[in-house]
Amino acid sequence: MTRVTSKPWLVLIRLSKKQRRNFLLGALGIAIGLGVWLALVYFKLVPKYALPTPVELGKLWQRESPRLLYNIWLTVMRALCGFALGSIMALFVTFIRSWIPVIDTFIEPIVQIFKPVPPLVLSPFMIIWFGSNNKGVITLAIWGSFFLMLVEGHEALKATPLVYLRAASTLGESKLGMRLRVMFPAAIPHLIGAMRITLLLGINLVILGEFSAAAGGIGEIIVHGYRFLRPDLLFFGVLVGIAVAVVLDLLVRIISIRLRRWV
Amino acid sequence: MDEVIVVEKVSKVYASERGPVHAIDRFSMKVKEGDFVAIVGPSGCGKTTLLWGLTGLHPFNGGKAYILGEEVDKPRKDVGIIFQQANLLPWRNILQNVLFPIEIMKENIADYEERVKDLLDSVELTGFENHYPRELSGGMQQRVSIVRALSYDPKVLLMDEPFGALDAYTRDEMDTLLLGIWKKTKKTIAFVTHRIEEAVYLANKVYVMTPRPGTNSAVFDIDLPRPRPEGITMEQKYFEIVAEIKKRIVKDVEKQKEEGVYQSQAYSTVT
Ligand SMILES: Nc1ncnc2c1ncn2[C@@H]1O[C@H](COP(=O)(O)OP(=O)(O)O)[C@@H](O)[C@H]1O
Ligand SMILES: [Mg+2]
Repeated sequence: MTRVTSKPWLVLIRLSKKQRRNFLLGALGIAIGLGVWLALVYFKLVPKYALPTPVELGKLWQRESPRLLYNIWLTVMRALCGFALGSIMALFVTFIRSWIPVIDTFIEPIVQIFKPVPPLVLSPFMIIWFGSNNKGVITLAIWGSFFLMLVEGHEALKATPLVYLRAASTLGESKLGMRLRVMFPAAIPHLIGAMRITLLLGINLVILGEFSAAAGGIGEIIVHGYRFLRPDLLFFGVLVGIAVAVVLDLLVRIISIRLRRWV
Repeated sequence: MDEVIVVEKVSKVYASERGPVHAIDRFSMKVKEGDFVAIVGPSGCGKTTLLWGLTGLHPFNGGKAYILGEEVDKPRKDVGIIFQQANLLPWRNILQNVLFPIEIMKENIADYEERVKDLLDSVELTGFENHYPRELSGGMQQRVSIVRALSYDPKVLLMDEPFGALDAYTRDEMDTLLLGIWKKTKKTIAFVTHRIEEAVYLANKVYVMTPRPGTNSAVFDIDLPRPRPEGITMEQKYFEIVAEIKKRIVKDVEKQKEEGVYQSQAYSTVT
């Protein structure tokens, strides 16, 4: 674990020797990737329509940055909305399930049926039902986040160590208190892990949804580049998609350092 | 009120996959106000079951148990419980852990902060308020759990092998510390242990339970000076009492074997 400070973002600056080495190695990896890219395009090892040169990318940015930024924003906003709404709904249902056993019994088979369905299979329905717009794409992300978080949340609550329940119950803890003061806090490390996976799934689903929705976003940039043989657009879309995933994941990690400093 | 804990012929049968387990059979005891009573018996004889019965969460199947004159049927604010594991909540720092009961009981935290800080001081944990449990040794954690049990000032303390998980040296220290707390706070204590040496050192009265199903075997009044002098555990008198109780337990086991009712305790849960 990295050291905990009152300013969590400092972990990015204050690195140990080992972390600095890892960081340098990571940077080296990226540099090699860049090198390969440059070699491929300038020595014409791949056809021109398959990879853009950095100069072409620069020009693309110069020409169309407002539109590109707007599309990135669309994707990020959709992913965050889908992730947040889906997770909150799932945690709410998890709470209800833990409260009322009958509901748990009722929900379990539904979860078992829908959990293995790849959310993407449902994307045509989402778009037909909710439209080629924010609603359709976000609903897809909500769907995926919801089921993932539902399964994880349920597992996490069930795994509450008996000793904590015991400590609280001998003090006469109420049913509500048991959940709010014991079960959910105890589940935090597990839930944070689940949140990271859920957020990445959310980004994935949004971009994939955008492939077919024609409602803007990074997904549409990629499809556009592909359809009109615009390697600059295609490449830009892919790079930005990766960057968004990496940055959002990093943000969740930084936020979670505080939440799980007791681990 | 003189008798704080009254246990009248309580029994407990667990249903298990291997059939019913008679854990306790018509066990009785009385603990006077301000008294320190120890309950000893071989592992698996039902000591933990007895204490759980007194918490009101896992009721006995037969007999009756009273605390402060009321029949026990739910957790009480005038009873504090300390287990073998400290059971601290790892996401709460030490201060938040010892204030946990106050939160549950919906009392005003501010009214208790002073008291809790004094208690932490008395177990030499001042300065650790903001630490998390994982940063503390086993002995320190158990001291925190004692403070947690005392935080709401219960009249009665029930302790289930509280120092059983600690190393021998720390355990002896904790025993002495506990006697100090008892003297100062005048609590009524029922202390379960399988270590006879510990029981004799701590208690005024030692109840011996037979092997499973646990029932009354004998009661020993411990006639040693209070407060316990240094080095008491090296003295002839102390050894004699310990030996007498040990003999009693060996005799109980032999008697059960002769009658063919002795059950190996191999499956007993150490809880
Ligand atoms: N939940 C349970 N289900 C079945 N048997 C149990 C359960 N809890 C305890 N027992 C059995 O009851 C007996 C008494 O257990 P316990 O009270 O834990 O003994 P002790 O604390 O003296 O070691 C043991 O033989 C144990 O195996
Ligand atoms: Mg026990």
